[in-house]
Amino acid sequence: MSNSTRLKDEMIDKLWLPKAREVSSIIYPKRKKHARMRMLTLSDGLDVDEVIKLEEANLVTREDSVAWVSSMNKRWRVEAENIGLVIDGHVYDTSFLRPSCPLLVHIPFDILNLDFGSQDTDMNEGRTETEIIILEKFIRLQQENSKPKFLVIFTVPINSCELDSARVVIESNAMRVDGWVGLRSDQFPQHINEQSEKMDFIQAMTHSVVGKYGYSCSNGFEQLLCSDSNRILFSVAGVLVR
Amino acid sequence: MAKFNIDRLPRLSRSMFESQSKWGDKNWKDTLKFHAREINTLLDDMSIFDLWKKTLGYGYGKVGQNLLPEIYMDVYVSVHFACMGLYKQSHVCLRAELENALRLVYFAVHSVEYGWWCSGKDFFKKKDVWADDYRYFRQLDEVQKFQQACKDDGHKVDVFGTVRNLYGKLSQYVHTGPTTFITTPDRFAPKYRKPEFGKWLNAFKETQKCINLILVLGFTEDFKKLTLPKKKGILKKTGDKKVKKGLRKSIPVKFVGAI
Repeated sequence: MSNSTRLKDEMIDKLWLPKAREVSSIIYPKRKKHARMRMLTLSDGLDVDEVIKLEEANLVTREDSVAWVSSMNKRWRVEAENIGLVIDGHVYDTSFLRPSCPLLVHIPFDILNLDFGSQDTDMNEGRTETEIIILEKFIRLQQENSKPKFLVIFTVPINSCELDSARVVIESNAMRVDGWVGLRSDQFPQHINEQSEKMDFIQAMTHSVVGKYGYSCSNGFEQLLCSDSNRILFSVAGVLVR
Repeated sequence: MAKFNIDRLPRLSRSMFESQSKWGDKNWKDTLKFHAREINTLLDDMSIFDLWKKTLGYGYGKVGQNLLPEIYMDVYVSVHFACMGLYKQSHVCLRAELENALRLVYFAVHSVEYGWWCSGKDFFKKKDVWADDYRYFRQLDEVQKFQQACKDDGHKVDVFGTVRNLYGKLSQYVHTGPTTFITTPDRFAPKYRKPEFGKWLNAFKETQKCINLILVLGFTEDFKKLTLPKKKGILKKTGDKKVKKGLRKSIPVKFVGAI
């Protein structure tokens, strides 16, 4: 088993699966035998264990799930698992917002599993900032498609690069919402280097983005830090309710 | 839902399924035993189509979105067939890949004709977009500029002469020339054969070079917008030194040093 698979297994068992159970009881309290929730997951193309484990727990079905992979080669692999829809492309582009993107037909989802740890990118500097902005774009899409309750799981690799909070604030404020006064850049230190400060910033931004689109997090956000000798992954999960 | 049960298969279907599974498995393993690294390099090289898809996929509407995944699948399945010892089929896929790349360049700026082609209208009078010895492609400014740049450097490069020769070579497999048979007098089922694999590997590499060159020349403006590392990544896959030099001069792509 590869290291990345071990880390993912840990996150599924300790955070993602328990939160999926929680959201199932909130969204579909009457679906006792099988919740059949609709899930979007970012996949590394090596496996889709998150879909398979949630399917085993009768929470999702693979046929109703959507997986996003970074290349056509990975798409071939993931389609072999009978996933309902597999989309290939660079999630770091905003191409998923273009009208022709097949994802838009499938939004909204009951579970948004934004596991950026699974995505290939040559981006190192500015990666976390971009991932926070993409999180906001997905939550915005959910809200625009009138999704009142869903689970969001946001997982990012923590690297050694400095995090530029001002960039996130500027880009987030550029996505205007009526009645939202915007973030102030002096709310956060501009340059963030320490791991614990990065985690605090990611969590604060997740809270802020959620509030911006009128959601609150029932039972609060839970977080998990997983690491091995190669990488550190930080995962935040919460059930959003409007 | 119906469940697969081998014991309930009709006799001939079962026999075909079992034999196919066995020789498929054996040929895959025999091929990878000797060529795993080469195959890995090819698969890695194929990621260039993810870059092309990202560059062209959304800009050319349905033409890019439909043809680029098909091009990728043609080349991917070609590797698949080669690993199964099905060398004739693996060459057929390469020709399909080449044809689709030519269609992509043509239909990207002929969306009405693309609609006709999709609906099966015989607008082309049984001809394809590369008819009359690639006349349309030979007239493209970028192709002429590139050939002139090569000529100025003392090299005669005829892009579509090369494409024509390659197409002819691959067509032998489509039309089953005598040297392209899957069977041999002592062997009926497909089998890993080193010389055949080598022939396919050469054809594969030549096809990818041609296609990347065609795409660079067909989509020069999109190519120009790429970052320098991405431009270099694509140029690497277009051919030998004289081709790369000609492209750097005709497009132009300016940077210091070789690729």
